[in-house]
Amino acid sequence: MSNSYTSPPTLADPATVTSGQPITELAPSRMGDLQNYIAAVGGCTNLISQCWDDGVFATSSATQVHVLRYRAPAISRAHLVLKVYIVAKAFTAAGSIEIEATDGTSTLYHNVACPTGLQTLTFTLTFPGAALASDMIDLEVDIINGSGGSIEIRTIMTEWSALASPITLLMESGLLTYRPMGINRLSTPLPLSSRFGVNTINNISMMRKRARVFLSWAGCLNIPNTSQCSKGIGIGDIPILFSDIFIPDGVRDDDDLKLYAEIYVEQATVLDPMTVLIMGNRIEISANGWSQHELDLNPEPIASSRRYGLPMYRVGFDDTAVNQSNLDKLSTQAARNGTGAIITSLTIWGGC
Amino acid sequence: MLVPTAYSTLPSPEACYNGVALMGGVQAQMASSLAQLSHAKFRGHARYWIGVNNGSDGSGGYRSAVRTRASTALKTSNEYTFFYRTTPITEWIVISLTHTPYYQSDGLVDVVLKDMSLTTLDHGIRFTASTGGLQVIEAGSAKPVTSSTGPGTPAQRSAAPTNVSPSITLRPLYVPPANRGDLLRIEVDSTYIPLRGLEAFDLYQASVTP
Repeated sequence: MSNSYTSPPTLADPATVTSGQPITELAPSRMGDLQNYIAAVGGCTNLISQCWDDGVFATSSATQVHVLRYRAPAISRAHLVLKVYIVAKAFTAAGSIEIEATDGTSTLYHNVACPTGLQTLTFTLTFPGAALASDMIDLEVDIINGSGGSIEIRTIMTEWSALASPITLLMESGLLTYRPMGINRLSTPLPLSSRFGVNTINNISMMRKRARVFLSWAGCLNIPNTSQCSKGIGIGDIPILFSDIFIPDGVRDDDDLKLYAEIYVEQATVLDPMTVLIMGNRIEISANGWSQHELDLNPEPIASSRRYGLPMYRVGFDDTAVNQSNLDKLSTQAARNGTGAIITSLTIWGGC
Repeated sequence: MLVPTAYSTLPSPEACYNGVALMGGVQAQMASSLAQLSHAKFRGHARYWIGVNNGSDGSGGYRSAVRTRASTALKTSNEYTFFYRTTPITEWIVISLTHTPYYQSDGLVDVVLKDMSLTTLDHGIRFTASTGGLQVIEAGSAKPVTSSTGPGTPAQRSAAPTNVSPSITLRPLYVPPANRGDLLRIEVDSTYIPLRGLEAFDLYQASVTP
């Protein structure tokens, strides 16, 4: 028995999966193959994506400095290999960039040298064992400058690596487990089992909940106040920090399909909490650090949905008085002054 | 096969139990729901926020949206690299740029698709203000706008593009079959256009050959 899949995937012939037609061998075989493909490859696209203009995000710190912090969902606990790509430039002296990733139990590090000049650096972090310890990981980026040098980061992108065929690991997510399809058992002359149908329905339900990251953002940490980059989300980000994302119809009808915001807040107090509106959801945070917030899908699809033939939604901060008042701005300069709540990291993702 | 975009209600697992007559509709719903996942939900997508010069008077992002060409801190040209993970079924990638609107005719943005060894896969497109590819509004406004390739026309998508320099006729970027599933680089050169974000996503195809 092999839990294999074909890539690119093949679909069942629609002529063979209609009422009144006999179930031929090819349709269940392809559906089983497709399930394995979706489980292994589905969601292995951009996880974290962020970019800075030339010269904006740089540090010349003489000691190792922690500059970015992200939180992102796992797509399953069997997807263990996280890849990070960074475009960076070292000036004067070669340095290095270090990535730290943790699932709450294991903490991994990968340090890659950054020679002078513009470079594309690749980091690979493989979590040990057969499964991640949680459904969420934290990622941090450190810069280590060479003597007298400085390093500038231009682009960062992170992704989960797809599982190779055949699937060999038990694929869990939350409380759900994917049941791989033994392709050989779906071919002639073997009987079509009841188990195939039951597992297929359960697998589809599970894959509908698989996480997709809609929007990721991190402020530049431990950078001098005189630098050019943002530490906290400001009111100027409201019209640019968004994502136009496909969210299937039917999500509103299923309580198991949800959207979440992971928010890291600094400088908040009980008397001075951070209150923001994200997609019509009012979120109030008085504790510093990470917090997770479930979001309702309140907005209507955006106008370009019709253009692309998909229901698309704008995910991000609402352009409202609440956000204009509470996000960082020129009159308060909370990030610079160190007083007043600021958001220094944000991930909006959907289990849908 | 038609690829649905919506999550249809799934049949109950009991519909497949031993001793129960399996209806044709159950199998049709399974096939349709799987196609929705592989070809609609799990298409490639990336959204890049672009950090810009906030000046030396603060590290908050409050100035992100109000920089204009008049600012001496703003460079007249910029080069960006955006990584994009395609899926094995990615064929066309839609590009949407979020930028400060510019009101003169010499602003342009070139978007080219390359592999990780910097071999050009698609010579790409050129957004220009003069030909209508870039949204421009009155000089006094600095609120960011979005300019997009759109889905292109069926004629544009009927074959691989053959242009050898960025084309001012906008269309999605084309991924050759040999590179589908690869990590690719979207290389962007902007002149006089202050970019604030880039969104890339696989074009949805409502019907595919099984």
